[in-house]
Amino acid sequence: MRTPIAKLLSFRLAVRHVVFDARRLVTTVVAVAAGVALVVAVHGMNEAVLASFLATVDGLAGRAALTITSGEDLAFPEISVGRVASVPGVRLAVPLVRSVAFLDDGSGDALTVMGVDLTNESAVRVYHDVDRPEDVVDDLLAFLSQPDSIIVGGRWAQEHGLGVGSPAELVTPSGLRRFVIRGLVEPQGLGAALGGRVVVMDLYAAERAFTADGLVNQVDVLLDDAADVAQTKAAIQETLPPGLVVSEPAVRRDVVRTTMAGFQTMLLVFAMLAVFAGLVICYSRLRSVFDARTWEIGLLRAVGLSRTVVFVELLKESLLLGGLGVLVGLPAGMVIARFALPAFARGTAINFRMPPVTATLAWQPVSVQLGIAVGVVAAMIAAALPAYRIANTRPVAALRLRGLGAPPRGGVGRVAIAAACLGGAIAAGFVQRATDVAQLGFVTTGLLVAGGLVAAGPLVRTGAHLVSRLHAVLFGPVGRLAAAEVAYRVDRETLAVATLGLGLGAVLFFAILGWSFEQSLVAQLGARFQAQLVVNSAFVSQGWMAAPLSEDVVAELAARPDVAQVVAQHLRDVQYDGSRVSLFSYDPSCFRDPRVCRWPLLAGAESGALERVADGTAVLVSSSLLRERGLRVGDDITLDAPTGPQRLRVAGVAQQEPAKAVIMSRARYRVAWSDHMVTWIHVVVADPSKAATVRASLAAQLGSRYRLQVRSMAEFLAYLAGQVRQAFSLLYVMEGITFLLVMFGITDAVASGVLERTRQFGMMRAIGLTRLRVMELVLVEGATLGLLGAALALGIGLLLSGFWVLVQFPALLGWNLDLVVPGAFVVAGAVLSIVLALVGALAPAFRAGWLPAMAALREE
Amino acid sequence: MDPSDAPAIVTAIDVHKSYGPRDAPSVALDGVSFTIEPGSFVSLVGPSGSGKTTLLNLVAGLDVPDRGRVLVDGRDLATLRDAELSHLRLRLIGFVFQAFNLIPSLNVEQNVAWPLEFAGVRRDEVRARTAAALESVGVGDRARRYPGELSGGEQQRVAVARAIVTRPRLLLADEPTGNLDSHTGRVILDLLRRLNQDEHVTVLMVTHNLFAASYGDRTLELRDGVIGRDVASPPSVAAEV
Repeated sequence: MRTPIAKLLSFRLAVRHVVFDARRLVTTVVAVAAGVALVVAVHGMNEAVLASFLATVDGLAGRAALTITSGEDLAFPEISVGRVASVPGVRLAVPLVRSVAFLDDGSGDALTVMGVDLTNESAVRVYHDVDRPEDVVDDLLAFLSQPDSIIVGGRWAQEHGLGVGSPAELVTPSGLRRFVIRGLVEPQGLGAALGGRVVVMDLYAAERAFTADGLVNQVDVLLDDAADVAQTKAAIQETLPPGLVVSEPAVRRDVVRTTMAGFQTMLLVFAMLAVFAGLVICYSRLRSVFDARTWEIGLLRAVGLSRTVVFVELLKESLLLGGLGVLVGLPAGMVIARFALPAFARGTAINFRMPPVTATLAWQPVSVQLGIAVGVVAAMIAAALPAYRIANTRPVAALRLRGLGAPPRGGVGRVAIAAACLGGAIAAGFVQRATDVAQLGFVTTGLLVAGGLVAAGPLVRTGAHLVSRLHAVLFGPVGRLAAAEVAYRVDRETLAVATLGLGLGAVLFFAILGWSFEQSLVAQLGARFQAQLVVNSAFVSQGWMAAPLSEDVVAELAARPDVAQVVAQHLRDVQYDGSRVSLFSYDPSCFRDPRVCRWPLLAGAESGALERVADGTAVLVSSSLLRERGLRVGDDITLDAPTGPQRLRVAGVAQQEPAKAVIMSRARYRVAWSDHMVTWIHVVVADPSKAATVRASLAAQLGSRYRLQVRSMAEFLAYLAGQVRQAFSLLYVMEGITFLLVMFGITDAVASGVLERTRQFGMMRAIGLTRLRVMELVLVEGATLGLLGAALALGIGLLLSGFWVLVQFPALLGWNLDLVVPGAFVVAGAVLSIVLALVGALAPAFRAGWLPAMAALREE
Repeated sequence: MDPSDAPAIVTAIDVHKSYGPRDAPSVALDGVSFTIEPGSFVSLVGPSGSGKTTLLNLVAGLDVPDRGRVLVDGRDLATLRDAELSHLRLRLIGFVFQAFNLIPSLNVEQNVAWPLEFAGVRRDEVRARTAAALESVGVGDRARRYPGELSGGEQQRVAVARAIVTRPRLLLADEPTGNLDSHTGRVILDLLRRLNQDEHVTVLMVTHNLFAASYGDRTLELRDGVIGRDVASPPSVAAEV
């Protein structure tokens, strides 16, 4: 006789049921697998991309315990190195020049340049483990004596058909320069960082090519073994002039982690939407399967099985199904991650304006554990309620009941719950606005989704009655019958509509998010920038930003007779009050000449605000920064610059600035930050009708020397819109999987409905309905589900996107966007919902129509 | 025209039907032949597995014989396409099932009306004929109720109303009292009898209950796939009715 524990742990009965109902339960397994796959893929890709960014930080830091920078990669005098080296506890202080260059072969490959003193063996060993520097170059003397000498990553060189002795033309901020490869470094340490896209040169040659004689932009510090890191760090900081910062590479890692945490969590939450849709499908299918066993369970209860035993046995089945879903979903997720990773990494780099990385998947146990947990828990949650209900059905009722019941009543409770969820979401939104706790946004999102799902029931009940007349006009008696069936089987149809509503609602949500982002950027920047042409480097250095150019280009452009006005713009991130903000600097003309820029300001700006910004005595801020920091017009803000803290008065709030930003005059910026680089140059042509001619002439004159891109303003804005689309490409994978899930869910729901009504269809055929009429009935039911699903999707999609665009995005990422709903997409989405439902209903409709009536009539 | 002069409404000629694998078929009908005259009430009796329901399904055109012919209203069912068979069933034949088979999402009135709607009858005529059919079976006051709110007897009466609302000439009933108690079953049988006598609807009723069978004026006994006896119903029972 088996012990109670043995009975509890035995899965024999559960396995038998799963095998017997295998065809019906495939849906559950697939739904669980889809959710698991998406979560595992997103989590794995998140980890891989984060690891690659962290590896870049590590690779570039080498073995340095501390790093001295201006905080923003700006150049500062090398003289500081001597002061640092003399601090007790410092073993070695290594000056560096770091910059970005591009191979001029049309590939657009961004190369990180590191200039280090190659004669200093100790300095080299900080970054690369070799016995001597001569092991990297054949003839060190020859290398050092020629300022065009560079060392590159061996594998990278091989990929580009280069080797020792090959010339390499690199586009630098000061223009095109010719170098010669005189050494190759193996892929470890520095060589491995950034996928080997590294150029090493002698420090002094790098200063001449990228900064200026005597100017470096980083000092790496090695400490004595016994040195206390914190104390030495403080001591070093005291020796440094204002504007220079000592940081630990580990802290930089934390900064990268923190910066990306919110974004990666957001992606995981989006993946969970698919899990939710899968859970709804599982619930629907398991409920159907368990209900079909009502009579059997009634019999078991009648002969003595307790409710608890029945409930536990049913849960065991769901555990098995969850396990099967995990077995399928885990490898599927790994395959998805393998193919989606490059786009994922690219999108993340664009979002955070980071250099592109070559991410590699390295599956950690936590991704697998997360997938298992999601799959098993989702399956068990989906089964819990149907199992509880069946287990608690009274035996006599179960034995007698054959599906004939009174028509459904009530629904007031669901309306109340949906309203409560909506109310809760609104309240959470207000609390979030007041407290700036971005995490509350996930609570709000959950409440909106839950409320939408609960509202599906009342929507089906009410909607079916409303469409009944429409159906009668369009489809005659078939339409009336279809509407009646949908209204009667409200519980079943609610699940199908909920799946459709959530799935397509999520797709609509993602689409509106991306569209709002794109259109906001285009509209806001399009309203600001008025010049005909935009000139920038042909290369992208970080995310979507063009590589920096020397401001010499500005002077050359301004000297042309066919150019009326030239305004340079620069963008960099700076630290303000513990977090990063964007610092936009524009030449003063931008604030004075409406031919170049227009600056609508929010009410309350100081008198003469723009003039004061132009002369460098004030700044503008974005509304998102104002709101986040509780600033007001007239307040002062202080930004740390290499030349010392910059106290800046807020003179106004830029009405159309999407990012969390400070806007100032470039005249002041270039002095305070010692930065003479520019990112974009806006050109007003003397004769607007000849803009195309001027554009061609600019490209010919400066294009080859600086490797420039000259675009019309429309093209420039289109480029930025394209970058937004690329950044959102991460979501396309999720949309694709969600679509498939939804299709599956609808097919499953309609097929379940046909299965349950087998005898009814047999009766209809016996009484005289043709096959086509029966098919038509099922298809119209499917279309009705599609229509109701579209209505729910519209509600969920609009609510979610409205909240995220207007509240959550600003809170999470600091972006200030307009909600733009693509009308054509919404209409297309509604049509797609109906089409999806029809396609999902096709197979069940065929089955219903071609049922052998006799066999159908015998069906229990 | 006197119904007795009309051609047979159902003719079965040497009908054979088997099921199951070819190497071990289960013979349901093994050469059945009979005719049913218009206006008659025929009971088809026999033990379980004798082929009664198979024969009924063949007469309804829901299945085709392996050999032999089944003619309804002079038309060989095997020569008709599916759409023509459906047309025949909708307009000529009424069907009463053992398990009632009402559509739970429709109320009583809608359950009875839908065959007329699918037959293309005008709405006002649908309404009138539905009301008349419900009255004739004694559930006129239940029109707005749903099947789940009715007793078994009431559900079967609604099913009979559905079967007769299209004014069929042939009513097929498959164990119409099988799920009912004796009193309620008798009510249904009385209904069928009245339809046969007053409306001249030909009734072919499958039953294993001899009392029910006595309501017919003719009894066909099926045994092992062949007709064993073809007799007039016992006069004592018919007189009692």
